[in-house]
Amino acid sequence: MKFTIIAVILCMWGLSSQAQNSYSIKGSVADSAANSKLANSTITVLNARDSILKAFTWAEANGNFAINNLPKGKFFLLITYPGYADYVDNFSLDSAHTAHDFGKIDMILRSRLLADVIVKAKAAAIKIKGDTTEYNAKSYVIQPNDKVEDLLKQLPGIQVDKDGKITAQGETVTKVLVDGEEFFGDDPTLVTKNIRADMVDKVQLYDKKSDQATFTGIDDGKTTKTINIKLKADKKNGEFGKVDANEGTDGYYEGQLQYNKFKEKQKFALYGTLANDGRTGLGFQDSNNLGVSNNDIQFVDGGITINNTSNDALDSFSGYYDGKGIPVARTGGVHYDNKFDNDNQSINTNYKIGSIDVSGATNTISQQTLPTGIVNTKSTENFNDYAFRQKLDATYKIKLDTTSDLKISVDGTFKNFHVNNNYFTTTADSANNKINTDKRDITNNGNQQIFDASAFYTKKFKKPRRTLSWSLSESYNKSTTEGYLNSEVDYFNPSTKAVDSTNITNQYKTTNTMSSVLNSNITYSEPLTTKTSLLFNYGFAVNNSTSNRQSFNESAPGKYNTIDSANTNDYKFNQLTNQVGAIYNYQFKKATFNFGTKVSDVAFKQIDEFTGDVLNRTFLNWAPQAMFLYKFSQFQAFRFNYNGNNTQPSIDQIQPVTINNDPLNITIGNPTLKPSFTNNINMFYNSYQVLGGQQIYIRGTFSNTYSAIVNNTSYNETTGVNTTSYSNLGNETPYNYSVYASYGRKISKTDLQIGLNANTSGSISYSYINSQLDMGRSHTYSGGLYLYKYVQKKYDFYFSGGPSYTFSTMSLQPLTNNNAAGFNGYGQFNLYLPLKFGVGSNVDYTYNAATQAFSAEHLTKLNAYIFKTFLKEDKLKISLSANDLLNQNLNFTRGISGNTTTQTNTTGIRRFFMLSVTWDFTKFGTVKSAN
Amino acid sequence: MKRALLTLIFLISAFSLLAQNVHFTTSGIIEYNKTSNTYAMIERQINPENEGFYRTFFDAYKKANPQFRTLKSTLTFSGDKTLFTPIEPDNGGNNFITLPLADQNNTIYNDLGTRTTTNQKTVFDATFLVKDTTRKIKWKITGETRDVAGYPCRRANGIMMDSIYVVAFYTDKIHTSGGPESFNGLPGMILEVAIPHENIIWVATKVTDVPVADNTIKAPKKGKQVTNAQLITTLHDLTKNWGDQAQFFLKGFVF
Repeated sequence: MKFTIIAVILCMWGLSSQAQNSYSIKGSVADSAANSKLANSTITVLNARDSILKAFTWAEANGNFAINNLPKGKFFLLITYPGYADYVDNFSLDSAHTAHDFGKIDMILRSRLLADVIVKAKAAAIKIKGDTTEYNAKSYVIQPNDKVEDLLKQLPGIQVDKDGKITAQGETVTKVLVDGEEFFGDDPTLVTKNIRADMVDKVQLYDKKSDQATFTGIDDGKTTKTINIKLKADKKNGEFGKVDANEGTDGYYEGQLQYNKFKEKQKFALYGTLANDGRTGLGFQDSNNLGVSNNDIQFVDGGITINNTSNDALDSFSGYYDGKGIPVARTGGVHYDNKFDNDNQSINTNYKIGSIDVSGATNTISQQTLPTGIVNTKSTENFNDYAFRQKLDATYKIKLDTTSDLKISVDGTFKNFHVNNNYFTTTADSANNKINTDKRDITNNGNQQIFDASAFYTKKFKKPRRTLSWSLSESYNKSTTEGYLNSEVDYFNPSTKAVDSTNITNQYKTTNTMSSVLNSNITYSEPLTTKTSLLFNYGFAVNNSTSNRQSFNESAPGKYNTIDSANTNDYKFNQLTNQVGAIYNYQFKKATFNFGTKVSDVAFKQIDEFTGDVLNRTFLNWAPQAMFLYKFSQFQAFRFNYNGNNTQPSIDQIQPVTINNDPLNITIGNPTLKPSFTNNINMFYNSYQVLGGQQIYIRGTFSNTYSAIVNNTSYNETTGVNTTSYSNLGNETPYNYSVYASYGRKISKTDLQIGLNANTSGSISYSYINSQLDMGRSHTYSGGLYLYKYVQKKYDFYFSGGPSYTFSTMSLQPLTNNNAAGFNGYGQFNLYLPLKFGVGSNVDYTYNAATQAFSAEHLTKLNAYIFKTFLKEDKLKISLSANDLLNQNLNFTRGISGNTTTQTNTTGIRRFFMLSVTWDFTKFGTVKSAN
Repeated sequence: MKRALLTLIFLISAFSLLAQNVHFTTSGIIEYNKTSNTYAMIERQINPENEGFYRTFFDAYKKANPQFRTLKSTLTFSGDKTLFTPIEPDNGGNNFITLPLADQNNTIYNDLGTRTTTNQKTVFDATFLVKDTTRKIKWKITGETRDVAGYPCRRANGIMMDSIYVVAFYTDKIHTSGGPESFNGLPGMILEVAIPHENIIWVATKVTDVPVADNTIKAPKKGKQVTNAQLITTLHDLTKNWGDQAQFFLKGFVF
């Protein structure tokens, strides 16, 4: 009785202190037939229901084992030892049975077990468990002639339970590869639907394929059979698009439609824009989504380059015109692309049509530096330009075989344009005495045809990094224009301040230009060692251009048939270039380095069709290059680049014809111009810490030019007329440089990014004025601060700003300068409000101080908007926006060209309000591949 | 008859004598290959919304990079202590696209007796020293077997961190319950382990059975000391504004 009570108390105490896990098992493992203890057998306890591992241990030297701290429940014991049949036994632990003693467990060698079975000739004695995902119980029938060795290979896992029942563990599982990767079936007891949505598909797929995958017969054991399954891509189809309708005050409007339909590998898109608020086409993101932009993306040297190959106003990157004038745009396009032949071939084609009509006014103030003094010009230009264009392009890519690719592209463009410009110009000396005034009208109509065709072939050889590529392209451009020049120039007498004489020009002008460029280049790269390789290239180019300019004066009113020979010329400029090059490459771990050069033999043939004069010249052009890149890590790198190249003179600079479109600024070509040579150096260092948000960026560039082609101007003191030609600079080398550094970091615990930057850039340029060399110097120093914060779907803001100072002087008039201070500021914020509302605003502030020639300019451009979204995923958006609230928009620039410093202002779109409705529609569906 | 029985008895004895000489490995060095299917990883990031842009990126990536990326590592073990060390590859490759699950960011020391781990983990440019308990994996033992690196292995399926499905092959001839990276908890050394839904697999290529000096299996020391929970908080803070890409990076660095 006492005993029982103590026992009960002990038990209960045991239970309460170690309520859950006070159960245990013990036993010992041996091979009685061999009379040995099986030390080091693996003892495993698994849940009976789902085989989840609960505990394990390894038997000691005497074959004993014990596992304590087990929970209660139903389990089975699995004992394994290499070469022996697995031993399994069910047991349970509960309050009535807290410890289970297995006693002495006898393990049987697999070979012995099978031999036993054969000798006893027990048919259907072995039950086979299926693979891990499905438990199909089958029976294996033992034939009288079966040999033990064969059975061992066929039934690698054998287990026997305490009653002597034998089960073969699993069939020999074939390795199944799916698209190159080994496929492991999901285990339904572990991977439930809640964890992975696509799991179910994979399992079904495996089951379907297993009909083909199961094998029969005896595996000879030498190699496991592997089956590779290629998954059929799910057939996707659907459509998506966007409709954007905007109506504003002052007659502003914008409408845009995008529609895209895709079915498996085919894609079709349609889009159009009608707007007069500055939008001219698709933005960058929309363009990419529709597959329209012809981006050529390449992974190069541990970085990425994206080349956008289209570059005209109706196809612009941002969908906005350049901001000068008020535009009316009507554009649209159609796109189609398809991949076929197992993705080995693809085609991509686009048709774009559009027109843009821009009108506005530009005010220009310029200050020209002369050896004798300075001259100021004020000019007002009213312009009205119209262009209409159609373009069709197609690209075909084919994988000829596993090592070679071919890409063929063609495109054709037809363009019509009208231009109508009126100018009023006044030139005065430094004492403000008028020198001349010009009232001028230019109208021009023209059309242009452009055709391009190119082919690009690449081949990879068996030896890694041995490659060959060949590119061939032809580009043909023909343009015809005709128009009228009407100008009335009044020349003033500085002392009397009255009109001395008047010069009237009334001409009809035609210009026909044609250029054809054929380019072919073969590149071959050969690996030398694992770290180095050599790249060779041979190329040739044939560049033919003609320029036929004719000017006619009136012989009778309305009849323009008297040739003005000074302004008429028919010129041909042909260049034939042969180029060879070699570049040496080294790459190992973090460093990449290459250097080499290309050398070209260039033959110029210049023909004046009227006089029959032919000028033949040849030049040797060099293009050396060197690059060094060191990647400290993925986010920290240093790079140095050098390259040198020659720039050929253009046909406009060479053609010996006088161009008098602006009778006060006449230009004449110089047929004896030689190519110039430019050195370019640039280096940068950047480092970004993803966790701390610290970023450092430093960049420097430098470039100088030998034998630069510069303006050579003669200024007539009496009339104020400039006649400019071009010359190669003798001993001087103009140069320009820039250094930019920025540092930013995240303020921890606030997610606020702040930073500052400093920048200096400048240039030294030269020009000849009345035979004297003038050196123009321009240096700008600026700095700034920025801060921003972005919280997804809540709010974000960005502010930046800083001062700058520009020094601008000309050597011929050292006492005159156009130095000025400036200031730039930008701010924006977006705020998401409850009930799906949002507001935001941005402001752009620019200030430029006055200089000797120019007045101060400052402008504040303020935009604001408020919107509300509707429907699931915010697909419908209605917004009200205000553009340029303070009505100050003005396009403003200051710069130097030759011996002239200029400031221009062009009208742009000013204040208006707009109500917009945008609807994003999408409909996706997937059709599972049917087998 | 008597003769047949005698032959049988001899055969049986012969077999059993052979079986007694099984050698169990208790220390040594294992070399692993980690293979990642980078194309499948990137493909999973593409959805109908970003398809237009990402598809072109993906095609360019495929041109410059092979489908499978293989990285090497070693596991030095003795008794219940293991040290997993990744081997840095010769060429960085074209890593503009970061795939944290395809890289090797961890150097892990496990004490399987006390169930503690020290993990020197690189996250972008920062190094953390994670000290915590060993990774808890819910294992299920199966009957499927295969040979890996000359050792007979048994398959176990597991669930890690509540949602990651793993398939491992462990051998009962090596009595250390460890494996590559943070995998552990099976009645033998894990010589092959795959995370099927993330397209990664580790396979042992060579097992060298040698005694290992105690001082070669030491915990790494560099980095800012954190626990697993603190690491997850830091990573969440970092990626919370990264949109739908956040999950992708979080998964890769938490692993």
